[in-house]
Amino acid sequence: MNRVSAALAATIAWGLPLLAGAVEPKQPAPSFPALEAQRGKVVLVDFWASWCGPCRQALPAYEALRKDYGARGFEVIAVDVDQHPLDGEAALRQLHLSYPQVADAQGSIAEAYAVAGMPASYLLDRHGVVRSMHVGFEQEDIEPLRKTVAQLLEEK
Amino acid sequence: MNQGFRGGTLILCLALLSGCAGMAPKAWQRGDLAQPEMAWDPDPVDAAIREHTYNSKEAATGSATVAGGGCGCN
Repeated sequence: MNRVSAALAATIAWGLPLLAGAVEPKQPAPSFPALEAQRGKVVLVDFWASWCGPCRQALPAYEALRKDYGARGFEVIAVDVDQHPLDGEAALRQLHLSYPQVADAQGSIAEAYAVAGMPASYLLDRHGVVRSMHVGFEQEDIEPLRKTVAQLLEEK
Repeated sequence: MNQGFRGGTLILCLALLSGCAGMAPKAWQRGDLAQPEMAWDPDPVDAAIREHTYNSKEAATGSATVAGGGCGCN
């Protein structure tokens, strides 16, 4: 019995690094230079790629959200995880986005956030704490997001 | 000694079982897999026409799916 327990413990220990670094709500978001530059703002960190259809739908929707709330301290950071950066750049030329873009071809930021699916978005409050996370995108997701952003902007 | 060896082997086997767990591509590494040429049927319309012709000419009812043989004109 003890050996079985030891075997299970060894297996779990072996697999633990796979779970390390997972971002959770109410935890500080992993930092990167573009995020540091927005300190004090409510920030939506969005991981996207040119090959992901829903990601490309989400980007203009976030642009509209930024247009409405940007003046009050809301910012979007789009992290392009395209392994072939030229693909992402071509997509961006069509989308005409005004918010900061970060290229993450090596996936180091995505790794730090333990992105589980595409697109993945993380809403951070003014203190850089993750307040909500979302995987996937549908147009119906915008309204709840809009409410949460407005709520977070009210917080000091 | 024998029991210790068995226990050690069991632990090693269980540990190795999870050895490939981290090899799957991460969510952000699926760009190449998402290319159209990586699809099982890159061109679904072409695949359907080929299958229809195959079923008809070979009179191979139920070859890939259940379908009737014949001239291929319906």
